[in-house]
Amino acid sequence: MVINETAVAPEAEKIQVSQSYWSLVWWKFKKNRLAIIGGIVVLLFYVSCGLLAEFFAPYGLHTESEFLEAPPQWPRFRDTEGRWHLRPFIYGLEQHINMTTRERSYTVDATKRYPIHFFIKAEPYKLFGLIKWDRHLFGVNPDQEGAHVYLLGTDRLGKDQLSRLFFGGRISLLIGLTGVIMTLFFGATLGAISGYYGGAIDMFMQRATEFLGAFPDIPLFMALASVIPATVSPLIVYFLLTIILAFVRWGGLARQVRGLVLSLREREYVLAAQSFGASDRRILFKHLIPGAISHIIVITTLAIPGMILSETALSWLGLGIRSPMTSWGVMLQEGGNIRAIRYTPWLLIPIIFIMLAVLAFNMLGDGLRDATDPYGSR
Amino acid sequence: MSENQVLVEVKDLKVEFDVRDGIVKAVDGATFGIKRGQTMGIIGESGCGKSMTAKAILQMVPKPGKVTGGEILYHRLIRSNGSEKVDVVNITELDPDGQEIRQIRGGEIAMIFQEPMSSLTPVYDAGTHIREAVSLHRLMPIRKIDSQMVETIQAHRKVTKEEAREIAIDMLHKVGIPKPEQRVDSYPHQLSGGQRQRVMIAIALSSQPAMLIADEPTTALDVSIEAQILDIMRELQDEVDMTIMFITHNLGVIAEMADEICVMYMGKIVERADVVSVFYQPKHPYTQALLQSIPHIVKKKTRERLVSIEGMVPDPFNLPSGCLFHPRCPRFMPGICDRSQPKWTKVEEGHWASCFLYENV
Amino acid sequence: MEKQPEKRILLDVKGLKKFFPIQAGVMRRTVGNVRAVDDLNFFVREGETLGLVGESGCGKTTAGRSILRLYEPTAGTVFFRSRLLSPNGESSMINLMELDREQMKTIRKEMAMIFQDPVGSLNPRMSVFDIISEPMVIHGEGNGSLIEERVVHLLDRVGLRPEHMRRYPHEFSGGQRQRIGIARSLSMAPQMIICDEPVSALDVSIQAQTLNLLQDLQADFNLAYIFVAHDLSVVQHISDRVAVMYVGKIVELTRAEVLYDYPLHPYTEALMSAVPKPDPKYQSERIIMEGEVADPSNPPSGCYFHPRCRYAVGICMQEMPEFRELKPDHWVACHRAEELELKGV
Repeated sequence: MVINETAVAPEAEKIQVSQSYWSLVWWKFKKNRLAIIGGIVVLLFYVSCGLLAEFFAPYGLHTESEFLEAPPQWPRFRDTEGRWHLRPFIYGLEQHINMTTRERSYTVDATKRYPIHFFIKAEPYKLFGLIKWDRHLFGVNPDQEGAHVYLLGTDRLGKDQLSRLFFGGRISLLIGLTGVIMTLFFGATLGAISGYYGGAIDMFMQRATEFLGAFPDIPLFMALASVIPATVSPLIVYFLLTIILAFVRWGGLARQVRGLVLSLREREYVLAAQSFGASDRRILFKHLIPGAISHIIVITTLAIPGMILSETALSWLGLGIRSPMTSWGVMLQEGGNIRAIRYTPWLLIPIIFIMLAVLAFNMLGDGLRDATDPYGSR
Repeated sequence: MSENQVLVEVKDLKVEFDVRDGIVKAVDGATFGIKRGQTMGIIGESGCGKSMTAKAILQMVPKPGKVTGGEILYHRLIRSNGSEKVDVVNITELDPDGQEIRQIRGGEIAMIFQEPMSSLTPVYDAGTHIREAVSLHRLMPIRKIDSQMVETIQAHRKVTKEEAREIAIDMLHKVGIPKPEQRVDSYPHQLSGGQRQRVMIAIALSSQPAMLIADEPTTALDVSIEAQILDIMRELQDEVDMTIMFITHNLGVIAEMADEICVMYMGKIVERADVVSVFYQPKHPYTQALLQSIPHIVKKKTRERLVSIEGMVPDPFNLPSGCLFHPRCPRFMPGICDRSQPKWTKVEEGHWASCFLYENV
Repeated sequence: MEKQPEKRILLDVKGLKKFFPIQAGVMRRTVGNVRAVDDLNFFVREGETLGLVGESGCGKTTAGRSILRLYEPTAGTVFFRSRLLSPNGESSMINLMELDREQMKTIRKEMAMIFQDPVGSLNPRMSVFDIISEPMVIHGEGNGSLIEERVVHLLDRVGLRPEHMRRYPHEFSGGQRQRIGIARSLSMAPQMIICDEPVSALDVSIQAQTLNLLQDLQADFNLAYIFVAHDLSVVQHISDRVAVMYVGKIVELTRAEVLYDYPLHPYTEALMSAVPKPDPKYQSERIIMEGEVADPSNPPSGCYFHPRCRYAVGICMQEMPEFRELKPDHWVACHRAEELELKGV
């Protein structure tokens, strides 16, 4: 005998698209302006620094010049004679060295005018490390004698700060990302197992994470970082650093995932699955982890800024990325002394970018957190 | 004599909620009167608006809802020098945060709820004054019973702290709490659910209210405890001649407690009559269907199919045309019931229903 | 001329116990036990409904879950007439306590469960199709199109439509969600379903629909039910036999009609008296049980009910009464059962 349903839930008629959890999440996320902005900024960062740094940067990472510690140059449209130009340009710099104090200073030389070109052919490079290319987003004509464009000034080796920002950003942002992903694997898996099985396994893991977590952060970092041999290549340093960061931080994530799993485990649908004979593995992977994924995404998104800041701190202390590899932290280290602050303050501009990145991640993370709880308002 | 006088009159009450998807009419034109000393039962399923009606009487409709129409009149009895006077207060015109309604709330009209210890789910958002919470008779888990009761009593009666404590102990005794002089110093979590509910009743009655609104007070309790609580409520009502407005979805409970019943569906009252008439001669098809759909322990219809109401409660944003019940009504008359809304009709003396079947009587 | 053969026993529970240890102190020592289920003995026949009724803390939900070994019982045996695990094609009684994990998995095809909470019992991330087909997937039965056919068939049986399978639980009402849960439990064509308070969270009118559905399905598929509930009226309506539980024990067990007319246990009498009757003219002196429901972690001495029993005498405080078959198919655990004349409803 079939029961007729005369009044179907009218909501079922209204909705055309699937109302799966993720589509609800996306719908709610879209409505959050701040989150979208954060997301776009994060995306921009990763594309411009992570993928296409060589393209966005007018100069290569290692390109030095004779303009040591030059101040930022502003692009202009109007020259000293009052004429307007369509193409922005830079006035050249003239170096003066005070013979007595050995101080270097720069003045703007209006006779040297360097127009800025876009999509210009300049230093060749390999895009993604594979494709040979030589176009840059902008730059000055390499054929023009002595032309240079240092929008954010240069460092003490004459390297363009803006270019270094892009390359440094690549390292900082990638460390943030890969570090968190590694943390995720360690932390989330162990946390989930700990939460699901409970008992002795759980107790052991908890004590271990607590023990590790009780160590003071900075000294632990320093101790581990100082173990990295000085002779090792910067790339290996980079990898080791990522691992170290992940190792110290996985405890927090593990604990959160464990808590999540503990609460999800008691849900009746888990009990229901068990009543039909579901294996532990199935429950973990089909029920618990998908239930926790939204939280995990939020937690990791919000953990990335922490990673970036940790790397910044470490590198600033001199324990992190080694030159010639550069990161935002390394750049800050150069700008973070009294002399630099007094004489070459533009070296501290990376702070703005770090803050921007952290803010963007936080806005994105908050938006994700609100969106992944789409039943909250119902 | 104050017998058979109206204590609270509700006239064409409308409560609406303005949510993102539209406007929900939680209560759509409720009209009834509660007489002194009687128990008015409001029965209906979830979403029918019975709780919201009660909240409206105390100006406690939570945002984003508000009273958008009708009036609620409270006939306050003032006794002075042996003579009685009735002062009519229009509750709907009072400021929800004002002094007047707060004096009435918890003082002259008290309310008890389903779960006494739900400061976990307060009526208002964070920012509610504790005083407000106490006057709404929610037990705060971190304060002793003693202090909560004394505060309520002193808020509504001119007594000293010692006197208030004595009153509190006396009330606890009245509601059947053993060793009340000790219990008064315990914390809510040290009591069982049934005991907490009794404390709630004690707090509610300590200010000697004219009316008690009970919103599903026994729904969360075991049957044996429920019986105890209902018993106490009846005893106390007899003792102080109190008026009760009893809200529930449980037909058994309302048959026991109520003198008169309003049946609600989708924000409207569909039938109103004394309790025997409602159960023995229900007029509205919804009431009839509801009565037939419950398993009746006395009638012993074992293994027979229950007569169930077809279909489901309609979507508040997609209401049926005409009579809201017509898509599910076994007595549906095409062309009539789906065209317009039925009027509130007197079917017999003291028995009203909102149905086209009776409109031409 | 065919006589109805007496239905065979499908489930036979003996001495079932489930204790939860109470741990305290820094070293988490076990200082006591919550005796949630304390020596249950009952059986269920094929195609019949056994109601398990009682107030909070009586252990009825724990009992249902222990039978399925969702909670591992502390003691006792559960014999089940399994078709799939029987050696030579003839179904025989198998002790579930002796089965290993793989074998239990097979049993779970024959014994399913419906849960109380329409919201919590369905995974909100899974579509209705995934939910209903999950048992089939777990047991590797059928492939894509066969599974889909079966899901459509099951949806139809519970009164839902095929297009509903693409939807998600939150798009349905409580009553519909329960139906999805019922469809899920039917997917492996079980012999028995344990219904754990399936209508308690539903509105009155939806309760009726759901109860009707359960009865129809029982008739069509010859299902046996263990119906766990706290609502006496509902249990009486749907059950053939009823077991009344108090603090982990069954105090009375008999046919539904008999229980309500001729109860033998004071608790049954008091419970039925306490139930509010939807009849304003019903006159009966109510028997009020004093005090609170006993604490399963610290039950009274002797008969657990004696502090609240109006008929209690000396022996009730000292000795636990035996659960015995006082009359044919009427079991009770009370010292004074023979002499008391109790009122039915």
